[in-house]
Amino acid sequence: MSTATEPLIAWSNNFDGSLEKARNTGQYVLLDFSAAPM
Amino acid sequence: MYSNPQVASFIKTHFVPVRVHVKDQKDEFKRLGERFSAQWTPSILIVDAAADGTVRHRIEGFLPPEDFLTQLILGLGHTAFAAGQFATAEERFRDVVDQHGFADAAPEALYWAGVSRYKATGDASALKETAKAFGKYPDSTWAKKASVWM
Repeated sequence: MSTATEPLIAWSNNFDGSLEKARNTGQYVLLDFSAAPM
Repeated sequence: MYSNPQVASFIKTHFVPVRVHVKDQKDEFKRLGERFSAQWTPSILIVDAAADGTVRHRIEGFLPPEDFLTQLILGLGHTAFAAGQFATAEERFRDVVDQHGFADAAPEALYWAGVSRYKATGDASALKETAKAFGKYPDSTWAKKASVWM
């Protein structure tokens, strides 16, 4: 039995691709510079 | 911050979330850190894709979920304001004041709500009314800034 929890946020690590996606969907990029465990 | 369901839902609705890790993605951290002047973690930026990747809002350091959520809403307000969408901007800023009035971001949101209404209508009474509304945040820096509108 796994005790791992599903992350609530689907983070990308591709900034340039995400910027393009945001441009196409009318969203904004939330860019998180993090030191938290991945 | 991100384990809070309300925060996660808000991010899913409004943002394409990107994470760059200081140790696991050293090259990318260096490249984007230099581009966006990120020198500390966590640094969370709202980047406007429609404006060629212009940063509209910065959140530096950890915040509890409600304060973080209000910063995100505040950031969307600033993003709309920068795009000249003053009615939308006011809506965002009022949301912070009305729904999260005890959050640290509320006085700043109240200030910019007044500015947004003025920019949308050209009616200077919007500023005076906003200055009066600062009675509930008398000790904030934003109350001092708004005091010249009285």
